[in-house]
Amino acid sequence: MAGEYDTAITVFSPDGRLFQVEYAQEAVKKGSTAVGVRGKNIVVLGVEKKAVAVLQEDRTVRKICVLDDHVAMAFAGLTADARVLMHRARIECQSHRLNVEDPVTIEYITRYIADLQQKYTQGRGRRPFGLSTLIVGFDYDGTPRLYSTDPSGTYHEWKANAIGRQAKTVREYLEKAYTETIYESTHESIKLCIRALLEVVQSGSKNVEIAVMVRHKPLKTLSSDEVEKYIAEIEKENEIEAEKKKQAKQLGGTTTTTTTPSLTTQTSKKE
Amino acid sequence: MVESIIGIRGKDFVLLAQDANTTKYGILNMKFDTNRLFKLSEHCAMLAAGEPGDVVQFAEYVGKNIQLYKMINGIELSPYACANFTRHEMATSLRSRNSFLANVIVGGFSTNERDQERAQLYSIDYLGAMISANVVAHGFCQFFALAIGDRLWKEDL
Repeated sequence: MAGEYDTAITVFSPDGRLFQVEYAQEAVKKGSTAVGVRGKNIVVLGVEKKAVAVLQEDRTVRKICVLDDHVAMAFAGLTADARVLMHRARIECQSHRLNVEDPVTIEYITRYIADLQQKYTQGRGRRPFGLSTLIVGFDYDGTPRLYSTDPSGTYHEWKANAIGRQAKTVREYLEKAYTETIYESTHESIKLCIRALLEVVQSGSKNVEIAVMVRHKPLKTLSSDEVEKYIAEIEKENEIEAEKKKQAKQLGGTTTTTTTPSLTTQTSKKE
Repeated sequence: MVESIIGIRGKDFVLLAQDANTTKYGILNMKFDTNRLFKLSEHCAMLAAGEPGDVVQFAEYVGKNIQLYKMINGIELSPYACANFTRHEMATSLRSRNSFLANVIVGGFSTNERDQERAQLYSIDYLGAMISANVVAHGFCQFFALAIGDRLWKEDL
């Protein structure tokens, strides 16, 4: 049934679905994971760095890109589509500055990108963009923002989100782990982003790329040494947690053995 | 012609100067906070003088395109590249319906260490003619500034 209705993307299927859009979302699920976290004074983007071929220069693989001095974007899905979308977004950022003398708000540029993605789901027989994006930055008034778009052209604001491969697992982890304390601290926000990525990526600074943006400063990519430091801290915390759990389990074991003797004493008393 | 802009090149700097922050309309001062200096990038700026609307429109247009280049390519254009881009835009617009009556000076310090001359200064007039010189000026002051420059400019300022 799906085959008949997905050749012309302008057409709905009988049960009200746009199959090309759903297929595009499948393409997104194949892309490497990207995580975004919004703190009170910081926004963090983390991406999985897929292993490159031996002869390939790995610095040419850029999944986190700046759109303007105060906006950055990470994506999951078709890299070539992302390049086109990024180019349009960058032009729009400057165009906006030229026309209204103000930098774009993060919502504005997200809406622009989402509108572009939506346009290709309606008419002219072109396929949708096969990517979801995470857009972070600070508005002119200093508010940090994190938005996410998807191939259908919808966008939402998030406190923390993941896209791409195993995004659901990462998002569930974020839902459990995101707290008010993390929101308040820049250090903890960065750690949360790395933790979330490490849920689905092998541990090691060469498998993740983290970029942070602080108010009024341009995007900064963390060096592999800095990432290693965070990972070491996370692993230490994990060890402490594991120790605590082990001890709690042991303590729980001894209490059960003491209750059994008291039971026998009671029965003898009764007698 | 009434508005004056001057640029002077030194050993490792360029100096850009504009006259008073006023825009005149005949004998009246219309505006007291006119800024003729426009930042193109971190190490390059443009002075523009001429028709007030054209000046701002042209300078801001060039400025935002220089920024766009930086966003897309990740590096700043050198003052030489900025000046050539400006000249090209001026020349193209001249041969179209919308020309700009603006004389500009583009100057800056190139961040590219391999450049021979890193302090770069260019003058572009409203017809799209570009020259590179140690002292450049537009407006009535050019009659004085260029003459003084000829006499007194020296190497390693």
